[in-house]
Amino acid sequence: MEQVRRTGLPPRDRDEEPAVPGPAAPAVRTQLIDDLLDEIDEVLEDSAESFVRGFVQKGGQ
Amino acid sequence: MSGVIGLETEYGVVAQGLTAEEAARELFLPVVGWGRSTNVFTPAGARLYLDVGSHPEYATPECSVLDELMAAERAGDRLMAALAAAASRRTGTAIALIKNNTDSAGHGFGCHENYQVARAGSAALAAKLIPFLVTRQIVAGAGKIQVDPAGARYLLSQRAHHTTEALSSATTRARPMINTRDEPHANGELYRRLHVIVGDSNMSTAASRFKIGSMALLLRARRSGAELPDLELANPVHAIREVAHGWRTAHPIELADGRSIKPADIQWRYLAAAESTARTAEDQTVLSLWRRTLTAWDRADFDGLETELDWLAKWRLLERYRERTGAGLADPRVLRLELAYHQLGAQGELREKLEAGGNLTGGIGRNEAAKAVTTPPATTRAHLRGRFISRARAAGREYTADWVRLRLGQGEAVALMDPFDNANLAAQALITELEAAPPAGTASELDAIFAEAGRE
Repeated sequence: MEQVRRTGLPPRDRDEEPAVPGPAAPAVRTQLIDDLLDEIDEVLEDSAESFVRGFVQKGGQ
Repeated sequence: MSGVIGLETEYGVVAQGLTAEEAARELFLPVVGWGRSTNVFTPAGARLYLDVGSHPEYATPECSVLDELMAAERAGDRLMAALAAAASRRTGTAIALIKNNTDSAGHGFGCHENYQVARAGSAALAAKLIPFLVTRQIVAGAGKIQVDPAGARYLLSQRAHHTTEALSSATTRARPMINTRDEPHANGELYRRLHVIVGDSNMSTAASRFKIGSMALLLRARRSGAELPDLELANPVHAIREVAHGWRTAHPIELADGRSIKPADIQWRYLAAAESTARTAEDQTVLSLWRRTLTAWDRADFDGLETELDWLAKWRLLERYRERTGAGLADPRVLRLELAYHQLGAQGELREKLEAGGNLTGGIGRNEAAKAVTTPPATTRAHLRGRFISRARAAGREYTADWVRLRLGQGEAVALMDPFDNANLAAQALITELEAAPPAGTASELDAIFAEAGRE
């Protein structure tokens, strides 16, 4: 597995698309996180508190 | 890997207007319809059951190859997500499954690793592993926001504060790191089951692969005669909490001889022992993440590792949200986002989106995970158990199955005491008999859920 540093796109074999994607570049990763946060924003604004409070189990194991 | 390995995961369940117990019961209705019990073995040879405290739990079949185990773990997640989707449709209430280890009230639940080890020398082995288990959270921890009257902070591990002893034979009262209960599920004269219960559940397959693969390497090193590091902690329970609190500062922890040592330096010593036995590409993948993470701790520069380490991937997600909103760590929206990182979903799972975009890497292919929902691993006795169960069901025959036994109707039970026995003649004969039977043509709701979870 190649390690991705701060700059540059990850090396990728252009002929063969890997079954499992390698790491995206940092800027791409930040963009994806922003997109995900945009998607989930409504859930976080609306029902966060009741969801968190409602998460009560008994001890396990 | 040198012995068989299995992983048991307890999941949390949340539904508005339902207690955890009620939600879990809804979740398991199709399981009861299929097997007349909340404790069944699946066509993959895995165990699906409701544990103490109403936790849905999935125990993978015995695996001897790390890739198989990673696929089996993910298959369990997919099955749980499909059960939750079905229960949500049935009740009209969103039932969410959370793969973490602590609820909002501070209860803990587990992710248990099982390693087959030789009986001889197993007690000394467990003690030798404690410093490793106390500090491996700096790589494998899943991260956790802890809120208490003193404020909110981010810990490396979910389980650190739920551990009360190093070694013990009890689990529901005491919370040891290694449970020494002697339940080998195999020939007990030769083998023990090393039951490690201190680990966090991982969302990142890379982190899970490290968690299991590093232990497997250490056990193999020990088996081939290599010495594990000769370290003894002054107070393992205190140390595991110190390490969990130390992601900014990496507090040194105290050894029994009075010296102090950084958590990463303990890990470097175990890494050296593991390197001595590495052979395969699978081993190298484990060592690579291990080495890169320890180097990052030494340099206090973690950039790049957020695509593999759960505690870091989640931290970066939470940090980005807090930058955008100005929310504090204890803000309910931030706590909800933390749970979203651990939430399984038949559609729209955050983890799968992170993987698809290259924000989480080192996973396994969707096809392997999908296939492992109903296909047992080929290299262990689970191969026989899984096929026996699917053939018996197809033929509409009564059967019983557990980790070490298969029985068709009132016939004689076939014992499978060797976990590596994937070609037992008596079991094969049962399977052959069932394959010749006409299909019964019955299908229950759980069969449809298996199919949904197994869709590529």
